Amino acid sequence: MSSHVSSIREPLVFGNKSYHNITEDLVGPTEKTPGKLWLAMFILAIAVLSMGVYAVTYTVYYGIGAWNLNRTIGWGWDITNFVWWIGIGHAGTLISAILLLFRQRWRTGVNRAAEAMTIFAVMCAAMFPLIHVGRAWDVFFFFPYPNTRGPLWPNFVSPLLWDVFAISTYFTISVLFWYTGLVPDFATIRDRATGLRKKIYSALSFGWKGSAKNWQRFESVSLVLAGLATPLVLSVHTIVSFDFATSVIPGWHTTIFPPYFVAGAVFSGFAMVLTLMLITRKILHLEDYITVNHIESMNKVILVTGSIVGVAYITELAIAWYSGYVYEQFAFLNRAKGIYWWSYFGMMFNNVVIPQFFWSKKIRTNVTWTFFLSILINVGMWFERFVIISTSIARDYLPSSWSYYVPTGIEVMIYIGTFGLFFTLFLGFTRVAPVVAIAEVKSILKEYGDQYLDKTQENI
Amino acid sequence: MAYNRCVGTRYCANNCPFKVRRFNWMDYTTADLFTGNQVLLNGESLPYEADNLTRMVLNPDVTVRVRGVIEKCSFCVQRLQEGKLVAKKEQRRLRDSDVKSACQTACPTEAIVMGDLNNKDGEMNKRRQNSLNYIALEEVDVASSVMYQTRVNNRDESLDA
Repeated sequence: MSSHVSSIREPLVFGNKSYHNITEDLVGPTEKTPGKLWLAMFILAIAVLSMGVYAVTYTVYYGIGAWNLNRTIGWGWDITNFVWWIGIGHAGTLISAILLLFRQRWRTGVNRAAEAMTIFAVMCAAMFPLIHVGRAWDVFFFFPYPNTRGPLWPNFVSPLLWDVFAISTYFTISVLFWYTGLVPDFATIRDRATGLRKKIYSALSFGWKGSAKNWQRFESVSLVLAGLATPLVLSVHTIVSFDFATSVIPGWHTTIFPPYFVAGAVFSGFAMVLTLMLITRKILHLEDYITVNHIESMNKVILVTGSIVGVAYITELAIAWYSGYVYEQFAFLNRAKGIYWWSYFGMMFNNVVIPQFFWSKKIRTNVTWTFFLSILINVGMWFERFVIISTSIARDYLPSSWSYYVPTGIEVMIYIGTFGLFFTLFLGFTRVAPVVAIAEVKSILKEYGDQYLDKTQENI
Repeated sequence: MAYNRCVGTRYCANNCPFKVRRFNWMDYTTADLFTGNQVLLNGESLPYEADNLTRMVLNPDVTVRVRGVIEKCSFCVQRLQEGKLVAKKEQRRLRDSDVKSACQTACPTEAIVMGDLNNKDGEMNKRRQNSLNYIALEEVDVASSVMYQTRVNNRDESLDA
C-alpha cells in the first residue's frame, strides 16, 4: 500500500497503517486474555497496593506519631509525595488540552495514556491530604456543604482550601476530557464485541453512532474542554505552590513559586509520561503510534521546562543574596551546605544538568537514554519538593527549634503503596480501554483524508 | 484554638515562626474513638489510670485534646474567662490582678507578667512603652502577644573602638 509521504515532515504514524490496522493494533489488547506478563505485573501492583493500605490503616489507627514528623517539621514525605504526584499529572492535561489548542496533531499518539496517567496520578495525590491529617475521619470539614453548625463554612482564606477546590476541579475536568475522548473508542470496541462485553461497552459509549453530527459535537466539546483545561494546567499547580508561597517561612515565602512549580510540574509530568510510554509501547508493540518523533518532541518539552526550572533555581539564589535578608540568605546557604545538602545536590544535578543532555539529537531520539534520564528527572523533582518542604522548615527562624527528619518505614510504605495504586489502575486501564486514542489517530492519517482519496482508491 | 474544628493538617504549626504550636501525634489521653491504640506501659488498665471521671475531677475546665489536633499556649483562657466573669458580676472593668496565668503564678522571680494590653493605664501598656521592650521576630509581623524586655548591660563603650 502506498502512503503519501511528505517531503518536509515524517509521517505522524509509522508503518503505512490503514484504519483497520489501527483498530486491530489498539483494540487487540483489550480483547485478548491477559498474558503472563500483565498478570505478573498486576499481581505485583496489587501486592504493593495492599502494603500501602496496611500502612495507611496503621497511620489512621495509631496516629501521625507513627511517622517521624515533629513539632518543627510537620510535613515530610506526606506533602512531598502529594506535590510530586500532582505535578506529574500536569503533563496529561497539557498534552490533551494545550497541544490540542496549538493544533499539534502528534499529540494523538500519547494523549490517551497521558490523560489516564494524569487521572491516576491525581487520585494518588489526593490520598495524601486526606490521610496526612491528624483526624482523617473529620476531613469532611474541608468541604463547604450546608450544615446545621451555624452554618459553619471552611476557611476560604486558607491555601489548603484553595487546594481542595483546585484539585477537585482538576480531577473533574480531566476525567471528563478523558472520557469524552474515549466515547468513540468504546464504540469501536463495542462494534467488535459480543455478549456481555458488548453490553458493557454499549453502555460506556452512550450510543455513539459515528454520524457526522456526533463527530461535530465531539470536536466542539473537545475544544471547549481543552479551553477549560488549559488554564487549569497553570492554575492548579500555582494554587499548590500557594501553600508555601503565602506562608512566612524563609524558603517558602517567595513569589517565584507559581511559575517555578508549574514549570516543574510539566517537566516531571513529561518525564513520567515518557517512562510509562516507553514501557507501554514496548510491551504492546505500539512503536508505530508512539514513535521516536513523539519521544523527541516530549524530550524537547522536557528540555525547555527543565531549563526554566534551572533558571528559577538560580533566580532564587540570586534574589536571596540581593535581598540582604539574613533568614532568606541562610535558607539557601543551608540547602546547599546544611544537613540535607545531599537532597539539594540530587535536585540540582537531576533537574538542571540531566535535561541538558537532551540538546543532543542522538540522546533525544534514543529510547534507552530517554528512559533512564526520565527516571532520574522524576527522582530529582521528588528531591526538589523535599528540599522545599522539609529542609525549609527544618531550619527556620529560631535555632532552638531546629530539627532533623528521616521517614519511618510506614511513610515509605505509603509512598510505594501509591505506586501500587497507580500501576493497578494503569494496568487495568490498558485492559479495558485503548491505550492510544483510536479515533484521533485515524483522523491524522494522511492516507485516508479527502485530498488523498483518488491516490489511494486502489488500496481500499 | 477551636479543638473541635481542628483536622490536624499541621499547616499552622509549620507557619509558626516560633514553633510554639504543638501537635497531638498519638492518643496520649485515650480521648479518641479508637479504643485499641492506647499505650499501656506498666500493665495498667488505662494510661495513668485516667478514665473520664478522673479527668473531669482533676481539671473540669480544660478541654482534653484528642489525638490529631494542634494545641498551643492559650494564655490560660479558662482563668481569663473566670476573671472576666468575676469582673462582670461585680460590674467593673477587668483588672490585671484578677487574672494570673499559671506560668506567672509558678515563676519564682516574677519574670512573667500577664495583663490587659487594651487597658491604657495598665502594667502592659507601661511595659510596651518602655524602650527595653521588644517583640521577637518583629519583622515577620505576626502580631505576637508575647513581648520581651531586653537585658541592660552596663558596657564600657570605649572598649568597642
